[in-house]
Amino acid sequence: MRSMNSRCIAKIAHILCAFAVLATALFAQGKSQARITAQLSTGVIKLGASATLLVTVENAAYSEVRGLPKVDGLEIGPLSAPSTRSATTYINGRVTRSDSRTWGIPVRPLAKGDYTIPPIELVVDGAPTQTSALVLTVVEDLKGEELGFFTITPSTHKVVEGQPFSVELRFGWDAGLRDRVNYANLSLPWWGQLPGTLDMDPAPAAPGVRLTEIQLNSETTIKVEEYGTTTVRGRQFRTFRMIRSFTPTRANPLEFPTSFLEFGRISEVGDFFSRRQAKEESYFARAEGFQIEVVPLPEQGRPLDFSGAIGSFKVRSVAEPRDVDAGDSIKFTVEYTGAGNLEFFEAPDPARMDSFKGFRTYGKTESKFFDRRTIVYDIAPMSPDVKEIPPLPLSVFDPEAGQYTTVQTVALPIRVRALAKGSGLEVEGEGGSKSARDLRDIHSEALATLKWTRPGPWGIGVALASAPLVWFALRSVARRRGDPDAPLERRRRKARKQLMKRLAAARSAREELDALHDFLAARTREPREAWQGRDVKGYLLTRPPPRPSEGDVAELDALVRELERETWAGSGTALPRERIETVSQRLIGGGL
Amino acid sequence: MTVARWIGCACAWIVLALTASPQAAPQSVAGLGAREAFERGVQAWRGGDRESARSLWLAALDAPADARLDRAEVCYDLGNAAWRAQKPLEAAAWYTAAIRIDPRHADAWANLEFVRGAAGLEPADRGDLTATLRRLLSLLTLAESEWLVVICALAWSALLAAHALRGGVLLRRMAVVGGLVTAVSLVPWIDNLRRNGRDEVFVVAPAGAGLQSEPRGEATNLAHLAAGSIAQRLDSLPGWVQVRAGGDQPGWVREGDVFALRR
Repeated sequence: MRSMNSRCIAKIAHILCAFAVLATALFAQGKSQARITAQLSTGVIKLGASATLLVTVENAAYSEVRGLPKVDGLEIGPLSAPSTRSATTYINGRVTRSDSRTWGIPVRPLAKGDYTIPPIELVVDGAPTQTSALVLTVVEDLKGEELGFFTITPSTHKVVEGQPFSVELRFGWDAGLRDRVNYANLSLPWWGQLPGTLDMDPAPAAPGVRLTEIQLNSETTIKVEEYGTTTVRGRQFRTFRMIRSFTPTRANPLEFPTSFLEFGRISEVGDFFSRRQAKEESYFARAEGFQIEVVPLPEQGRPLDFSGAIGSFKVRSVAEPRDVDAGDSIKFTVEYTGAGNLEFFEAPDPARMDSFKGFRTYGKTESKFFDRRTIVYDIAPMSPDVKEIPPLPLSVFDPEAGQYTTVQTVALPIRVRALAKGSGLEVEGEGGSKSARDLRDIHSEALATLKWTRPGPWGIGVALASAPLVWFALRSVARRRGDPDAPLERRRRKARKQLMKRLAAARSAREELDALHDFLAARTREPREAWQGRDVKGYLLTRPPPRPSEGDVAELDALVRELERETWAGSGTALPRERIETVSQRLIGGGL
Repeated sequence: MTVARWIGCACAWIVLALTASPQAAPQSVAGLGAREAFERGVQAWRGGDRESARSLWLAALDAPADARLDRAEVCYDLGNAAWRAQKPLEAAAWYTAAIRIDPRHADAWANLEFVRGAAGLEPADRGDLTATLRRLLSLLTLAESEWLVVICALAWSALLAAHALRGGVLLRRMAVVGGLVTAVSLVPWIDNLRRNGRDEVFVVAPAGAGLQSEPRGEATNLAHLAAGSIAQRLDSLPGWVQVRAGGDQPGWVREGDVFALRR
């Protein structure tokens, strides 16, 4: 009992600890949504030039840089005061506020080489954190402009917040270089470090286009499309292309620092025990930096139901089936295509539109791709008076036109048949009958039935408290006679049942004798061996009361002698079972 | 045997301490006032004089309390009177008050859903899981839920006593189950205490009720309580009632726009 109690307590303690850990984790998760980015103004510089390391913290109440790392061969710092920027946006009734702080840290190389700038340590909203590590390549001379080319072309230089844009990277090297080039690395300081933007999934490659893997920022690799050779500046260049899309989430200029394409030849050097890769030749092609201006959505003319859709959209719709009964489901599919934030705006809700009041909307499912968004509404016309699915409007901000417009589906005619037994869907009576409904009549009797006195909180308290008290009190009383839960006590209580069972299965006097000995041993809380060969009369009649009567003891003694005689000296024939059962019953009744 | 007698005495003592004999209906003259008013109201209703019936039933509620009169039935009949007087919201309020007194009044529930539908309100029992659980919890009156706890506690005591005397795995498990059942039986009681402690009003104005910062007509409008909504009553002044709806800031509504559910 004690071990079970302590196991129960341990289990409860474990569960409470698990809840505490989960609550702490959830609390910690929900505590800070700050975002930290770090980027270099350039990934490759000439010896003697300098770069700037930009560290930006967004949406944090408090942030500071703990210290600057030390890198042999680079001078990093000093740290100056940060610049701050705030922006507030209102979309679909939701207000979003964003704040950012940016530190610009100068970096001056002292020698050529490839450097890894360790993460910058910060404290953000009281919690220590750090940026990612950055790679900087310092060269004596940037040769290769004539052997390679690298352009980055944004789809636009000005967007509104929430309007997706893309940047197309085209690069390559002289096709005549052939085997002299066996590696390439794109140095893109802005990769993954654009503050206030969401990276969008890249579009799948066109069929038949070959994908090549090249290095990115000397740390990872990326797949780019290869287009064979193209003519650039009158010469044939092996050409590659990559397109990345972003969605700005706040109004601020996005800086794309100068990017570099490094290409050349590497070979393995070293001895048998250690080998490494070394650059034999390196060339660099530069793509000049640029800026994309992100402006806030205009307030003037914004419709009340504007749900964040930005772009130039087309919409088409289908409905199946078109011939239904009142209340039957229609799958109303609406597909939006075009250039814009197809993935991010909130889909229109027919349940909130007056034009759809003849319909009941049960729900919708959506599928989103980079170039389309499909929404399937499950609607049901409620009466035969409904003749069409009305147009479903969507308010969109068109950046090209610079104004809000509405894109809507066309009305789709449908036929709604009345239900077989009625004119439409109404509240049905019990059993589904369509008879007229009215109130149930008044009650002319208001005789109160028996009212019982409330026990009240005190009564409940007494009843609840008495339960454990009763248990403790009775347990103490019962244990004076021994623990009723002890194995010997349980064996004692089950003794007669076991005897009956064994007698039913016994086929010889020996088996009956063994069963009787086990019964007697259980009732007296002794082992079976104690009753083998015992003087029954002498033992039982000298026990302290309560004890069986002399007649019962004599009967038992005679029974045991007869069983022993049959077992050891006789034929071993079993005695009548009822006799043994009767003796055992009388012994128990007599107090055994 | 001694132990068994002790258990029996203990249980008898507990039961005697908690119960009183059922209260018989008083035969005093004062009790007749409420009943007589009600019966006359029924006669007036049957005679077609609905206005008099309504007045008499209201008088029955206002008369000194009569343990023989079931106030839920009076509220139910007043609901019918309000419906026939083309006041569906007031009818819904009367039926809601009747259900507060007698949660299992089937006719009150049926009429409540009927008038709520006619008034354009959502059903009182939406049929979803939350509404079903809420209705289950409120099936018992306060007294019934208290007696449920007592009976479960007594049964649990009996199981604990059996385990104390006999031990064994089966009795131990039954005692644990008994404890859990007793704990669960506390839920309706606690819910009843929570609900009984709240003095609530029902918005009967067809256009809803404006929640104002002060009990005067020119005060700032803080919010709008929809028709059929329920708010907690905090205070009252002549012509005004201070309420709180949904945990928001309290405010004042006109007395005529709301209906007190505690009858």
